[in-house]
Amino acid sequence: MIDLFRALAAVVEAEGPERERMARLLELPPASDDAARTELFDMHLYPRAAVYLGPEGMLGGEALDRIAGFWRAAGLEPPTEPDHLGALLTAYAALAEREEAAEGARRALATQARSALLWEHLASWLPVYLAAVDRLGAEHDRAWARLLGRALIAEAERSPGAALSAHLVAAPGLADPREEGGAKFLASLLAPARAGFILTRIDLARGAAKMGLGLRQGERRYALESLFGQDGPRTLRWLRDEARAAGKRHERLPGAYGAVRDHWRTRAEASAALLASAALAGSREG
Amino acid sequence: MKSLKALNERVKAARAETEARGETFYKGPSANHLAMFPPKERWDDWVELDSKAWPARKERRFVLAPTTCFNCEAACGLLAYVDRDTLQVRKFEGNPEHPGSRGRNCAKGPATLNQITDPDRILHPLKRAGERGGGRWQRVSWDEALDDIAGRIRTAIVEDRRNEVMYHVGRPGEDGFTERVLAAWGVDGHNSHTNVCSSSARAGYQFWMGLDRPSPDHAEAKVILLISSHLEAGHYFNPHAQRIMDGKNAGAKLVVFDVRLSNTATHADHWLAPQPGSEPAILLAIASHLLRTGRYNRDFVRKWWNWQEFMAAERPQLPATFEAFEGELRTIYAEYTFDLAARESGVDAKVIAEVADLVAGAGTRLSTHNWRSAAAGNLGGWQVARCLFFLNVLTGAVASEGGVFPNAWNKWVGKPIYTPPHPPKWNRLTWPEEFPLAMNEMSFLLPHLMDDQQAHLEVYFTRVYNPVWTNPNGFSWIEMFRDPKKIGLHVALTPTWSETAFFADYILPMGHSSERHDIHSYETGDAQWVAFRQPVMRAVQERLGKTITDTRQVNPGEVWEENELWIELSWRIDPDGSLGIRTFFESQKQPGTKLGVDEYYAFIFENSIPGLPEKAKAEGLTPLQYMRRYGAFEIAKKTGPFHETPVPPEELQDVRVDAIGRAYTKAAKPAAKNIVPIPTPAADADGRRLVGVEVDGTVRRGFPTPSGRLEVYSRTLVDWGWAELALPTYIRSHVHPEKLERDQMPLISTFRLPTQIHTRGGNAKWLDELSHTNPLWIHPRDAKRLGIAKTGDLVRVETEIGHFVVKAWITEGIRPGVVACSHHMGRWRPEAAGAGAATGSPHGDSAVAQVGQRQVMQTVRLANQGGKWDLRRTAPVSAYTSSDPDTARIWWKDVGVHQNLTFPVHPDPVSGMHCWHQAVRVRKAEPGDRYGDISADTKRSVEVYRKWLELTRSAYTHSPDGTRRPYWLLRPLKPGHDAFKLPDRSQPVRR
Repeated sequence: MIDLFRALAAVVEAEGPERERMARLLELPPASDDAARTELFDMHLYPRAAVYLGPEGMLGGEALDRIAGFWRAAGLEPPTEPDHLGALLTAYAALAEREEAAEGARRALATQARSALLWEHLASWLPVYLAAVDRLGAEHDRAWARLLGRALIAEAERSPGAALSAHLVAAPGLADPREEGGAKFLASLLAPARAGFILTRIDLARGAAKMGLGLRQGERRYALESLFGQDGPRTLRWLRDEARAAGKRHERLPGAYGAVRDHWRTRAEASAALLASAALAGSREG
Repeated sequence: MKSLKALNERVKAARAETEARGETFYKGPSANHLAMFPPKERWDDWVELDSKAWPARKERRFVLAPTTCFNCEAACGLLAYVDRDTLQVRKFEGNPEHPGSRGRNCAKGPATLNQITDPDRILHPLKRAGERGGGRWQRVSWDEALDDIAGRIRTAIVEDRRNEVMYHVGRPGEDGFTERVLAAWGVDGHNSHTNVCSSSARAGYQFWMGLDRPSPDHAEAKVILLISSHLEAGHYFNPHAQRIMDGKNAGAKLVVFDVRLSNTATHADHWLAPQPGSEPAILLAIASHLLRTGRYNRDFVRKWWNWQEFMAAERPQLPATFEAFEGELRTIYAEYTFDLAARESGVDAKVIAEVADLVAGAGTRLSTHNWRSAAAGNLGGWQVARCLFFLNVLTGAVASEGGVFPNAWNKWVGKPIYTPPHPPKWNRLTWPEEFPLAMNEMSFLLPHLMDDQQAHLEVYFTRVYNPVWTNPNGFSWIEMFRDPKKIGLHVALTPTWSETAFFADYILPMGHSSERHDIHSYETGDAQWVAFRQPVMRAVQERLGKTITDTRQVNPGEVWEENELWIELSWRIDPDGSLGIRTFFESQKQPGTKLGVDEYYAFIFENSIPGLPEKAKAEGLTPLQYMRRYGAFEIAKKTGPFHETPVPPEELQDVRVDAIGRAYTKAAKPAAKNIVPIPTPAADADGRRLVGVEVDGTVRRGFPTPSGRLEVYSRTLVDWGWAELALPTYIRSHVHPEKLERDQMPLISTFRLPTQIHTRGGNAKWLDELSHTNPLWIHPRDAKRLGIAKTGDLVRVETEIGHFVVKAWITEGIRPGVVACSHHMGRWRPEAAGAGAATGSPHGDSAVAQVGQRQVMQTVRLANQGGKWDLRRTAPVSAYTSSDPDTARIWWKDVGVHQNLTFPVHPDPVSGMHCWHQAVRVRKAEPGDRYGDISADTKRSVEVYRKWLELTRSAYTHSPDGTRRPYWLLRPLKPGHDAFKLPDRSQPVRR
């Protein structure tokens, strides 16, 4: 599977003819146009693990440090963006290569490193992320996400995970606006590891349309703040529904993901409960 | 749906097929972290969309040809994108194949595009048409210019006036080609800019380890200590900055000494802003701490220091044991406490103690660097580098992973086709007796030395060098240039106009980085590599099947490259070979014909670069083709501690080991492929050469010093009259508070901006737009004291010989009590030059539209009354119409102030370095003062020169052996032993 993973990495990281060449080899549909692709990967679903695993829900931070640390511990030179999906898949292929070439204790170590990368930094977020790409991407991107999903499941089945990723264990749940204030609440909503679901700008636009509210141009936090400003209780209820729907989606994730699936599902359900409770409190106050 | 296994096999098969063709399959970061670079197998035909055609998707096809940047000495790799349709360079990006810069560049690299398309650049040879500096020029042919120049040089050589030929170079950007040209002519006429640049630091390093440059291994360091703003500017700063960041990313702590809150200081874990010149006091306090606490590398010190020599010479009454030496060392440095350092530097003793602990904890992973900065600013500045390296030699962080290497171990200079002997005569204009330990030529004293020695230069070349602007005391240079009794013929080799070129007799257009050949190798980390600068159009045309025999065939206008120029000029000096010069410029393949650059470089690449022929062959290329295609080759990584290498038995014949462990051999020195300059310590009385040092019973390579070891105690300094400075010592600077009047402050004038480089980047519009002014940094406390109300107010800065008027920038980013004004700025052209366009050739084609570079040169009026000079701006920079539409969009008018004109010379009596810092008075501008005004008195500058000359200890009074200079020290051209003998002072000195 080494070349399959490398090729899947090349599709997400390369541009132009290079990506098309790899897509053809993987029998994916032709790539979407560059603008749509830029919008998907640079505006909505950044292919960087720290965004989905870190408590800040942003690029960099502790999650990135942890991933860079993994590269070093595995004897690999961390690239400029060690948590980029392309880099992680490449690292996975490199460790698989190392495993193939090694014998005895070294092989066991390589196996351990590969398994650690799979469960700590790949399978810990990719099921949720790839589902989002499948939900929002163009045909080519969806096909890529599904193929990567299949490959990941195969690896997960081959090498079952023992413990939940440290990223996920460390991530606190959604902040309660009544206790921690609005700012922290908003920030936690946009951190998938805390909220249990991914909230993209496309989702916000859909939600605003559904609620009949105006979507302000600007970053997601600003737009979300504006939705609350226009109608807080309705926005809370809509978010509650989003969290519930996400919990159901997570429930349908393959059993091979084990504890990861359970974590995302319970985290989304907990968020839904908190949002419901806050919405109820808000409507009473209102 | 295909199975995962089947898909994997499909990709695997495609990969195998691609790689079997020698191509890269995974071109992105999945295989290579340099994702942004075109894969090298597609460099012949690279397709990009034309950004200007957007939103249309118009494809452009490029040939990618490597070269190296010529703007600073780092010479980072560039890739020229040459449009296949128009055969014009469209852009420059980094060359991922370059081991030093690794595909990354600063702003100056891509700005090469501006330089080659600058509408004001000089494209044809020009000859002065009126008086020198009058601004009138006539286009001439290369033949006319070369015949005139060659005739004068030939006459000077034939009449044994060889020292009347001088070549004065800025940053050379090449390894030794021109030195060999001068050697072939038998002329000791090499004059470098180094004494206004780095010779102070060189002295500090050379007195320690024999080699004069540090090669820090920042990437592997635990602690990085910089006395500079090296993350943003300086020699090799881009390659070093990358590695400093690599080190930081791996957890290294960064300590920066800088009087300004520079961009580098902002990255530091510890930023120290000491009183200028007090740096050695801090460093010695750290050293003393290491000694007191025993946190130094005892074994390294015992093995590799010349402590036995110290004990024998200075402590004969004590037992000659290492323990006794340690005790003495602790005693000597006991006075350097943190409190003393704090008093001298103004830095809190606790901070110094913290840094000392960091250094102590670094072990052998202490990476340090100083090149200009404090070393270049202060009297005794060479002790900054000496005291800094003291920390490395104490911790054993020398040639260790994460430590500092002697540069020659991280450098490779391939042996060329010819190596002419060094010249027979000594040139006193560059190596005067007053400065026997000067590391480099006393270049910036030239106008004074010309007066002192009543000298005449028949032919004086300035090569991409601008002494009128760069050197202190520029008005004295103008006076010298204008005097035909002093300068017979001034030839300016330059790609663009400069303040110096205005006072030339010929201006010969040279190529920028993509228009010239050079080969170089620099110490950018623990590795050895060579890189190749080349005229990219030559490489492209050859790839397209054309034969190029002269680089002018592909360069714009009549722009030439220097190597072909020197070969041609040498043939014209010695057309029949009777002077013995031509033989060094003849083809070996076709004797009797001119040596071509292809043959010259092919010889080096085929014979002197280990591994290159094999690597090239594997790709079906000749070594020259390989270098033309990829531009660089890495010879070795991790060179390691060369000093520990045992000397092989075949080099140990009739060996004699002396009392301090020096091993001398009768075995001849084996031929070397790497001819990187190495000092030559003296042979023993029986003619045996120093081959190494005996350490614990084994003869090892050691260091190229007279003792073969690291010299904490410099016998050279003792022997030449500087015994009190023989150990690493703190010398109080000429701008130490005790030497300043109450109303004086130190002016720091040396710092660079990241996006300019002296005057070399001046014709790059992008760089000019980014950086074009140099306000005076002044602390709010000082501004208040001086009544300077706000940023932008005009202030007058008075030096010893004049003053300049500049705008204030009130900032807390500078140490109180110190002011600073950046380098690079204040470019100008005289009114006379600005008024006169160069006239065309008799054939009617024009030479240049305008005299002077209009993007960055303000027009000024120069006035001189008996040595009292004034410079006043009469027209700022403004927009103009040219072949480049951007020149009509120039929005800046202010191009800064040329402060160097107001600085007298300050030659350090030991290193010879110009000590740049100035003691100045700063006050509000006077009524009538205008921004950019300069005033300086060249007669007063002579008085200051004389005052500094009194500090020197002449070879006549201090030479231990009747020679002019220690023979072992490095020298670009090294005359024979006879020429080193001091002349009889009672006899007139023949030049």
